Amino acid sequence: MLDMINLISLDIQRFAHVKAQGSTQNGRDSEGRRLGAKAADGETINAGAIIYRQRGTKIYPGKNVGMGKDHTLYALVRGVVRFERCGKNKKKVSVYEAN
Amino acid sequence: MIIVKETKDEITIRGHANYSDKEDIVCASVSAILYTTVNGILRLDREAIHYEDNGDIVTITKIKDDLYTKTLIINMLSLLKELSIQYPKNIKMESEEY
Repeated sequence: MLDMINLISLDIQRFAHVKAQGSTQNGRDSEGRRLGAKAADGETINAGAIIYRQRGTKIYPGKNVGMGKDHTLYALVRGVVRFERCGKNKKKVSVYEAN
Repeated sequence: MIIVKETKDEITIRGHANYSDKEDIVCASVSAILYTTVNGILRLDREAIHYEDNGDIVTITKIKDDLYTKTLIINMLSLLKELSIQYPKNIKMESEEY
């Protein structure tokens, strides 16, 4: 059987000035989702204002804070935002009504 | 511009076709003709030629003058010649009379 090993390997771009890149199936990415905090600790916000956008529960809803179906945290009342610890290694965010 | 130079004992090929940044068909043709010939000769007789590529210049040194080697080299040069006629701006043939 004739050996199929090329003695000199074929470099079809050997005399090309600019080596053309092979085509790739990659090179796509989705737009950034702008996740993260929308209200800072100590900030006064209105009821309904979004506090934190997230995927899953990085931060849990605390006092006077609701969570949407996409885990967005929002204020249920007007008040001051407080980021707090929750258990050993979790965080939560609460809104304390301003008097 | 690719320059193909033939002398009594060797053939040198150097330069870039510069036909196109992306689809350099002249470069691809020269490469295909070159590798087909060189691999063909070496498959028949590894001692018939010496092939060297230093990244700048490709040099084929004719060691044996047998029918197969001569025929394949003539075939390569005639194809490159035809290419140079079709693409005079991208490939040029030079030869020293011997």
